[in-house]
Amino acid sequence: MKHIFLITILIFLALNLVYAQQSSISPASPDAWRYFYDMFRPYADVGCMGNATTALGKISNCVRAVTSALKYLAVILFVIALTYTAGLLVFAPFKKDSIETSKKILLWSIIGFIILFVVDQILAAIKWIAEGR
Amino acid sequence: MDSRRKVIILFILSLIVILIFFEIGFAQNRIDLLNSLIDKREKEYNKKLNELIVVYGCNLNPDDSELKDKLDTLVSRYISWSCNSIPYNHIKDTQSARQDFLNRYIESYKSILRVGADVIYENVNPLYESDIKSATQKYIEKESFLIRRFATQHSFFDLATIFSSILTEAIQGTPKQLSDSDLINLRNEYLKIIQIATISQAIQTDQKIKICAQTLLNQLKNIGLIYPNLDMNIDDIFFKFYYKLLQFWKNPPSESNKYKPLLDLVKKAINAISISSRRIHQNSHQNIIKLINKIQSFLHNPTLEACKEANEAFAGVKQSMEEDRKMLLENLQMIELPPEIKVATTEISIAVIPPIIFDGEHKGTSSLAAITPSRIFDEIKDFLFKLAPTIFTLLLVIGAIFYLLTPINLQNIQKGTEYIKWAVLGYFLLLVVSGIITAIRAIFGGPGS
Repeated sequence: MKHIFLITILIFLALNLVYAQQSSISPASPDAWRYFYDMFRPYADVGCMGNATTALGKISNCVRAVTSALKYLAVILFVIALTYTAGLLVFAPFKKDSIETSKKILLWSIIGFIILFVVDQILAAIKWIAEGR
Repeated sequence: MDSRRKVIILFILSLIVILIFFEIGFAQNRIDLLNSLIDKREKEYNKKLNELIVVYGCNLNPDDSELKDKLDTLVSRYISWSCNSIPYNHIKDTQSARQDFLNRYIESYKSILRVGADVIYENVNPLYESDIKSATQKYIEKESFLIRRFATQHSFFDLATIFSSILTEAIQGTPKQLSDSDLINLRNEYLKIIQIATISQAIQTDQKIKICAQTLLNQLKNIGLIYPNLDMNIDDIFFKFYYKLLQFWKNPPSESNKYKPLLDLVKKAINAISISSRRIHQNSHQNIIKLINKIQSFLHNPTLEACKEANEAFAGVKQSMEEDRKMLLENLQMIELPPEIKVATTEISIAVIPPIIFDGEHKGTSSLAAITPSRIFDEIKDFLFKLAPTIFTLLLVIGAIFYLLTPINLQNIQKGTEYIKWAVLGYFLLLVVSGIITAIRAIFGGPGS
C-alpha cells in the first residue's frame, strides 16, 4: 500500500515537470495523458526509418529515434530520482545509512542528467582528441 | 333505344377509334424516326472506330488536314497494297468489316500447319468453327451491343436537343435551329402532340414555372457537353484494344504460337466490354430514359411539380454517366497483352558492400580485380564511421539512464559507468585505427605507403 502511494506520488511529480512545458494542461486531465502519448508516440513508431532509402540511413534514423525517446524518459527518471532522494533524506533520522545512499543517488543522477545534455559535446571532444579536428 | 341515339353512340365510338389510331400512328412515326436516328449514330460510331484502325494501322497522321481524302482513297482499293500489309479491306461503317479485319489479322499469325488443320476440320465437320472466328464473333456481338447503347444514349440526347428547341420557342418565342434533317422531322412529329401555346401560357401565368422552365432549358442546353464523352468511349475502345493489337504487328513475340496472345487479348476484351455494356444498361441508360420521360411529361403537362422532377432527373444522369465511364475505363484497363519473358546478359559493376547500404553513388567496381583487401577495409571502415556516432550517442544515453535508475538499485552506477567507459573507448579506437594503420604502413611499407 505504502509502495503504491509512493509510486503514485512520484509519477505525479514526474509528470508535473514534463507538463510544465504545457502550462494550459493539468497533469490530472485526460489531455495530459494525450500530451504524453503525443510526445512519446513518434519515438515509439515503427516508422522510425523515416524517409531514408539506404540501410545506413534507416539504421541511423531508428537509433536516433530510440535515443530521443530515452532522453525524454530520462527527464522523468531524473525527477523521480530527485524525489526519492528527498524522501530518503526526510526519513534519514529513522534509517542511518540512507544519507549515504541518498548522496550517491543524487550525485550519479546529476551526472547522468548532465551526460544526457552533453552527449553531442562528448562526441565532438572525442573526435577532436582522436583526429585533431 | 331509338335509332337516333344508336347513331350518335356509334359516331362517338368511331371518333374515339380514329383518334386512337391517329395517336398510335404518330407514336409509331416517332419511334421509327428515333430508331433511324439510333441506326445513324451507330453507323457513325462504327465508321469512326474503323477509321481509327486504318489511321493507326497505316501509320497516317491523325492531325493531317488531308486525312479524309487519304481515307477516301484507301476505301477504293485494298489497303494491303498501301499500308504495312495490315489485312484490312475497306473502310466501312459496319461491324462485319471489323470482324473480318480481326479474323484476317489474328489468323495471319497462325502457323500454316494450324490453318491447314482448320481447313481439314471444316471439311469433315460443317459445324466446326476455328478458335479465332468463334472468339471474334463473340467479341463483335458484345461490342455491337455496347456501341448500340452509346448510339441510343446519343439519340436520347438528340431528343433532349429537340425538347430544348421546343422549350426555347415556348419561353422566348424564337425556336432553336436544328441542323440535322432527321432532328427537324422528329421535332415536327413531337409538335403534333406537344402544344407550345399551352407551355407558353403556363409559363406566362406562373412565375415559379417560368423560373423552373428556364433552369430546365439551361440544363438541356448543357446536355450537349455529354456528346464528347460518348466519342471518347469509342476512342478508349480503340486505344485499349485495337491499338494494342496493331502494336503487336510491329513487335510480334518470338515464340511459335504467336496468335495465342492475340486470342487472349480478344477474350479479355469480351469480358471487359460485356461487363461495361451490362452496367451501362442498368445504370446510366435507365436514368437517361427516366430523364426523357420526365421532360416529355412536363412538356405535355406543364406543371411546377413536373418541371421540378425533370430538373432533378438531370443530376442522376450526370452521376451515372460519370460512374459508367469510370467503370468502362477500369475494365478496358485490364485488357493487356500477356508479358513476354526475355533473358539477356548485361554487365553490372561489383560492389563490396551493396549500394543500398550507403547510397546511389556507391556503385562499386567494374571487375573483381579492383576489389583489394585495402578497398574492403575502407568500405567497412566507411560503414562503421558513418554508423558509430549514432551508436555512441545511444550507448551514452543508456549509461546515463542507468545512473538515473540508481534509486532502484545502486549497482546500476557500475553498469552505467561500464556502458559509458566502453562506448568512449570504442569510439576513440575507431577514430584512431586508421592512424594506426597508416603508421604501420609508414614503418613497414605496404600498399599505399
